Amino acid sequence: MLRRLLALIGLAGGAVAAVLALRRRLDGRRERIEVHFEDGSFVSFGPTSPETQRLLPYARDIAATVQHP
Amino acid sequence: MDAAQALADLLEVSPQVEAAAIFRGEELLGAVGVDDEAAGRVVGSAGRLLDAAGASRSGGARVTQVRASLAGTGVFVVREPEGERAAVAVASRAATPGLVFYDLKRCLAATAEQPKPKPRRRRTKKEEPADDAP
Repeated sequence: MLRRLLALIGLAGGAVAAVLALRRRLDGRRERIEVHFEDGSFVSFGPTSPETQRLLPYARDIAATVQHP
Repeated sequence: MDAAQALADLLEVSPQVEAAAIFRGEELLGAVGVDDEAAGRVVGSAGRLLDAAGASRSGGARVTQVRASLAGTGVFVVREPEGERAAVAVASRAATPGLVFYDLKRCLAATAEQPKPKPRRRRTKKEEPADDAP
């Protein structure tokens, strides 16, 4: 009984770790923009934000110019 | 320190930075990792990115930093808190953002123009009253 319980706990722990790792990996690939202001505040725009869609072309231009001049 | 030297130092301390440039408005002050023509395009886009980012908040708060995370790469733009100069860098996605921003700010500070010393006022001797009084 105890062995079964331990195996279940191990299985659940492994599943949670796998989900977290996958999420972290996907987050790392997402395109996003952070803007910091003079007063110390900042905003972060996710991949679906219209601000991201407005600002990303400039950043893409910069990266493309450096990587494929 | 001149911009080219400061940018070369930046690439040395931050190996994840692929290219960087310092600019004022549309004027390129120095670049490393790209040729001058490409650097001109980079600073043009970086200036427009800063302007466009400023419009993301009403009230006209001044933008000091922008970070764009793209697939596989990151774009960092830093503007002087009180000044018009700015620096842009392209780094690998693995770069630590805080460190890249710190190095870019240091780079800007190292190349900051020294304020011109105020011209010293020459002391002129007061003219002594003439002794031709009766």
